[in-house]
Amino acid sequence: MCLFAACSTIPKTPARLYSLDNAKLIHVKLFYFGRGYGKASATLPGGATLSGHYAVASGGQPPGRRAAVMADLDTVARRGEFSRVYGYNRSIDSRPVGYAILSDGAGLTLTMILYSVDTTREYGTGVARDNRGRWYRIHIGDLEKD
Amino acid sequence: MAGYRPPVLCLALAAALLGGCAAPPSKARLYNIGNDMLSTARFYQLDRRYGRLTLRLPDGEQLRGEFTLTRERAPAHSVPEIVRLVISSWSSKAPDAGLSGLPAAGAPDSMAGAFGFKRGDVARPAAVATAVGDRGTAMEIVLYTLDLRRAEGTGIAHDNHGNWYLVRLGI
Repeated sequence: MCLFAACSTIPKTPARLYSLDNAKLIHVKLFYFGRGYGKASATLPGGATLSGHYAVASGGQPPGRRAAVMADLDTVARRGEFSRVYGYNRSIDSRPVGYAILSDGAGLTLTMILYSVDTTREYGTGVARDNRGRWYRIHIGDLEKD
Repeated sequence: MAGYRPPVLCLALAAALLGGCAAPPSKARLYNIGNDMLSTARFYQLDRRYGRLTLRLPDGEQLRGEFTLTRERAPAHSVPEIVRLVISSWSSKAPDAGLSGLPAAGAPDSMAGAFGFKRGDVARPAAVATAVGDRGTAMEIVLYTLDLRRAEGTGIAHDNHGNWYLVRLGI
């Protein structure tokens, strides 16, 4: 009972990843999104789960940690074509503002790159890619909330 | 006690009706550049900056999804000239005017390229929307211009069947 109560108070911001290949959805939860970094979990359409972490550069983390986030972002985002798939062109020095890396522990990894985030109102968007080459659009935000 | 129920029900009904009336969806047209077919999307509560989206394709497939406004502010001059010309020639009575000659004809390799942006142009997504249908269609929409106050915008869309669409929000 105590454990249940503790779990239920952890703020979890929902996000959806829309597959651009097969129209399926992956449901993601970002823990303590208002803080700007934390754990992340995902549930695949078939029910399998992934876990990992996320961080955004505009969160409430200390300046030192923010610099580390930006360094990580550069490493992660520049490996792929995230910027072009998202909608920027090559003329833009697009800066991703957040990322998440999730894994199912059995070989499937999912990299989320965020290009616009508001941690106060808790919404944002970006693109994601798994290590099987599938692309997704990310929409963060609680659609039930007014 | 039973006498209190009808007023409560009436109030609930009135609130539901008012709530529904207070936020009419913002409509967008999607012009399939390959076959000139039209689809209509509805953005619900656009001013909330993220929310639900519905989209009906010409074959009847119903898509559901969502939109998210970004924190980018695209300058007006960033719209490619060809798109500006085409869009300015549109009206609700002649929605397909001037579709020929669009840059997206062929097989563009990116959303920005399909919208007609060239090297040196400023392509910054002002809003992103995604919707999926029960028959397996996935649609991604990127608006490159957006006037939130007037609920107007322009952009490009792409589906997983290889179709490209020019998008106009605010019809």
